[in-house]
Amino acid sequence: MVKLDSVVVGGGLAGLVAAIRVAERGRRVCLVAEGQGMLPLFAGPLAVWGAGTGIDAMAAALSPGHPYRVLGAAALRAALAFFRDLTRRAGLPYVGDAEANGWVPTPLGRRYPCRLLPERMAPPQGPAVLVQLPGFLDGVARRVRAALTGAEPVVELEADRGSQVGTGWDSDRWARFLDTAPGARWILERLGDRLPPGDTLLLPAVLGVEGHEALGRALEAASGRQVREWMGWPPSPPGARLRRALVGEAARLGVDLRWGVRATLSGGPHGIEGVTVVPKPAEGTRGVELRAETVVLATGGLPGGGLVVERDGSLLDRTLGRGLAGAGSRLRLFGETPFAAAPAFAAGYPIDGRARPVDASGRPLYPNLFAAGRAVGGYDGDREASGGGVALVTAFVAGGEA
Amino acid sequence: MRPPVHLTADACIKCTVCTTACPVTPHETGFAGPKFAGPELWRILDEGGAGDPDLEARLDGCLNCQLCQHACPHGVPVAHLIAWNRDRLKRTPPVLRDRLLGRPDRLGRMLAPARPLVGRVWGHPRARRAAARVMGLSPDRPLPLPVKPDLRAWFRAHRVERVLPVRSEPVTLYVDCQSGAFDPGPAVAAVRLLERLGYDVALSPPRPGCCGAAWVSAGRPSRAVALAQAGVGALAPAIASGGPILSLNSTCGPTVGLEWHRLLGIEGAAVLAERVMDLMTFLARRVTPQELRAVVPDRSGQRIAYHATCRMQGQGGGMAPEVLSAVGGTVVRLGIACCGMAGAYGNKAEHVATSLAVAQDAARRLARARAEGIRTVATDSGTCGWQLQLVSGLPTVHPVEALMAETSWGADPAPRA
Repeated sequence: MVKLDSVVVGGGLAGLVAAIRVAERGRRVCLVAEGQGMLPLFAGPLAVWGAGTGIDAMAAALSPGHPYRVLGAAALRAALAFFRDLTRRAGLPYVGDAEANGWVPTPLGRRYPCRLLPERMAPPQGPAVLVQLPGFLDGVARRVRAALTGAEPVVELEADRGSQVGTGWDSDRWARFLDTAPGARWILERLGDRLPPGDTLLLPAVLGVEGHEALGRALEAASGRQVREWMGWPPSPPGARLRRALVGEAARLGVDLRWGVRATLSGGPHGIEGVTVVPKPAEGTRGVELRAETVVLATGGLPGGGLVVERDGSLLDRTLGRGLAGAGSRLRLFGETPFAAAPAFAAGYPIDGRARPVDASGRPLYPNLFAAGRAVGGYDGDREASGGGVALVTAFVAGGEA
Repeated sequence: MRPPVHLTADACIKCTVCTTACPVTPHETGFAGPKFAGPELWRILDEGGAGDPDLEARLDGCLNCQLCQHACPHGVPVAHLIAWNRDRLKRTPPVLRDRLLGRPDRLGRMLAPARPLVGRVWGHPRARRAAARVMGLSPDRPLPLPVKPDLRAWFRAHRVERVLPVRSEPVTLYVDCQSGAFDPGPAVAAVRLLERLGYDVALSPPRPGCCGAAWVSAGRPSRAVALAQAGVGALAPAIASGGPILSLNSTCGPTVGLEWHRLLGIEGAAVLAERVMDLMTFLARRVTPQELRAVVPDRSGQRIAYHATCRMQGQGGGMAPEVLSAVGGTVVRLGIACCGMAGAYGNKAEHVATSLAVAQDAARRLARARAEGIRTVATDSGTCGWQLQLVSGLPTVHPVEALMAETSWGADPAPRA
């Protein structure tokens, strides 16, 4: 049996931010995660509220169960400030205005509304030149222009004859190629000179994961221009960068990071009494018992695998071994069309003002259990473009309580 | 035969997290990547699809590190699916080289008497190139050769040395091919340590055998089935003893404890899940730091780097750092995802380039550790140790060898609290 102050279950955006906040308060915290979190699928820009209204106006207009409404405008503001500080310290600074939306170009030529975004994705200053990588799977530079003036020149890069570079590569593959020495050489040679006039080079978000900072700087030096990236879709190198930065910061703060373990919580009359962890492949065996005063549930909801759909359409929280109110049948979980509002997208626990999951009568399930990210319900992160903001505010509050 | 994989491919939501975790994908253009090679291809083959004729080659780059499976948030056994997909696509029996490498236990026994001759051939540049070409091996790598003495012979002759009082719980040390046929060092250190702690140690299986991991990694799990069946029989006394079965290798351990049952469907193997345990996990859970300190040298002021192998990461990251620091040492976690060696993968001519490309990350991190004064590296697999040693020049040991070593790991430059 291992004694700790706090255990965070889940290693995505919410889990990592919550664990960092707990550790910063000087508490001994262990983060246990079944996989490696869903951050490699995160596109990078942090959406808070797609409609673009200021935080106070937005929170006031929301339905009473929405996490923004429950936790309040001040908490959201503090969470965004916390995240900006945190990412600056971690070497991947996020910039932007908490009160109004900025944007980043999408591969479909739209402007994705977000409040905070990585510096490398901030909107281009002055005339831009777009770069098309050979054989790139995740979007076409010409299409991206629709988000800009529409007249930007496009530089088409080509692979050497017979080379395997770019043969149907997605963003993840490109980023990992550009992380290697030959990859960095490849792009620096091609974007060094003989470029059409323009102040900013705009590329897909593939400029490395491990070495993204150095490669971005080298490319700016070689081309004599500002270098910016447009947004991609999953799997997404900016998400992998954020994961790397947050994991590094968590480790630096002494968070005990345990990847690849399944956690189950056991509750009693006084709250969660223990967390049993078992290496994922050995599920079903006894495992190790952790004792902690508080537990944060940041298990990723339906997309992250923390909630699963049972055959009858009900939802099961695998960590707590507890059913959640579902849609009544599997078919009713989703709408008539793929993007229609549906119970699946808002699935998760309702919470109280301290980010504790509550039952139907509004009472906390356990006094020492907190929830963050997609484990929290009552919001539709994709339709509202609020997933990033909710992950942060719930993690910030849960991490401040746990 | 329908492969007995414990979950179907249908839990896959095609999120691609597995692909972002794959160490081979960025280095091998032709490789299909875990999402396709695992769950997608599983569905295609299940529907009767044959795929194109080069498909087998497009899966061959998999080194069975299982980081894809480890990363999956939905419990899809990606690596297990890949292993069986590869098996299902094989049209020809394995060539001689693969038959030899598929049975490391036999290979070690064959090489032991021929050691001087093989060593001389490999030491001669031209002879080495010719031999490597004939065998399909990489000439650019040292050839692993068996170290004497034979573990079982040593065990029969050795004198039990006690420090702490005798305990009632029997323990069994699982003899993997590495310990049994190539390098008995970690097993000898483990026996000595456990006996000093008061345990009665038995070795099992009593005669050399292989758990089948080599065949699984080579994409032929069907060939591992018979080995695993024989293995369950050979472990019967250990199972009957009621005590833990301790593993020294982060691949062989879960192969016996989990994959005989879940990947290969071996009857009677399910019970091993509760019984097979990594030695460091056993020490961390069952032995107090005081007891450990009573039987091994004090490591205060010493520093060591630790690589949790890819397979150890899939088991929760390993307990070696806790154990090594319990005796006073400072442990630096290297944070390498996969070293690229994967047993015999790195020795095969067609894979050596990928193996060394994957190892670049390890080389960078080890160079940094070295610059910070690290002089010894510990890891939970002998073959991974060879790779780390090759790319760093640093001596690499099993954590139990590090515990028992009479020499220092190297000084701790940081002031101690």
